[in-house]
Amino acid sequence: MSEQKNRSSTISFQAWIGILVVLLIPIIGVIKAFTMMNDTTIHPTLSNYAKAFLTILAIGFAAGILFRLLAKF
Amino acid sequence: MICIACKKFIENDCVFCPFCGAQQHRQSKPSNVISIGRDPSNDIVIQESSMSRKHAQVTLENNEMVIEDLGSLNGVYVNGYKVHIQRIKQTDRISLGTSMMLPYSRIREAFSRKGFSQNIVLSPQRTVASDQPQRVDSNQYRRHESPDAVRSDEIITYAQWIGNLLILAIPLVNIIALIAWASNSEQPSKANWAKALILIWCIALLLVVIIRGIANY
Repeated sequence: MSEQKNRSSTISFQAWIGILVVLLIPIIGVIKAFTMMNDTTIHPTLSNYAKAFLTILAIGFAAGILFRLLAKF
Repeated sequence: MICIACKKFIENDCVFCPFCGAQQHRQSKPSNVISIGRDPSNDIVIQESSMSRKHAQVTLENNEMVIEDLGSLNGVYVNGYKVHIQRIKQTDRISLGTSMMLPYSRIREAFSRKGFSQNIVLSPQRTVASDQPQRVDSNQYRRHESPDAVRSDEIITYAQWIGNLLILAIPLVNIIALIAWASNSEQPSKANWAKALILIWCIALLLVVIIRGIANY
């Protein structure tokens, strides 16, 4: 049985700084987001954030490709 | 096992003794597992869309309760952390699905209905004498939230994050929204996120100004 770590339920300012800085880095940010998304041991808020971040990133990426294709025609 | 009438050794599964024919009155052992989910066959039935049919089960072992996720879609959370299997205690805040609170007293009540009343002390809140599964709606659970129940801050859902990130994509509105979120004391995690984002934006803006300034010279 996995014992739950005794952690605060609030994500601290420092933790957010660390996460946001890592997410800003190309490729590594996406890998980190995927890791966070599938990690069941982290705070669910963080895993939800990673999921939303990847979703928005994917939408932005798709929209960018679509606009470029439309611009060609 | 031994026959209750003739005291001869018989097989464990025998209902009647093969030697004397006496019926064996075996004391039925109460099940130490309660199931939670949307399906009416569960011991605790929660009619909520975010609940799976067989969402979770709680096992009572040596007066300790262990909650286990039965592969539910929206998961089991103890004190805001998603868990697969976890020992729980009275002070823990258990939530199922997206925001479903499950008070500890409800689990104890379910166990007491299964014959564990001697082992578990019921809370003075409410006692259910019925053998029927306890059918409750989501509002009933919310009404019974304990003072230390999971606050809305503790889990920010995927949909909420999507909304927040979309708002951040709108110029000017994003600045106002960030300031508002940063000053929101009801959701400390979100406030910290907004503060961190403001700081990162300020640093990025400063860097752009410096780089442009250097480039102009």
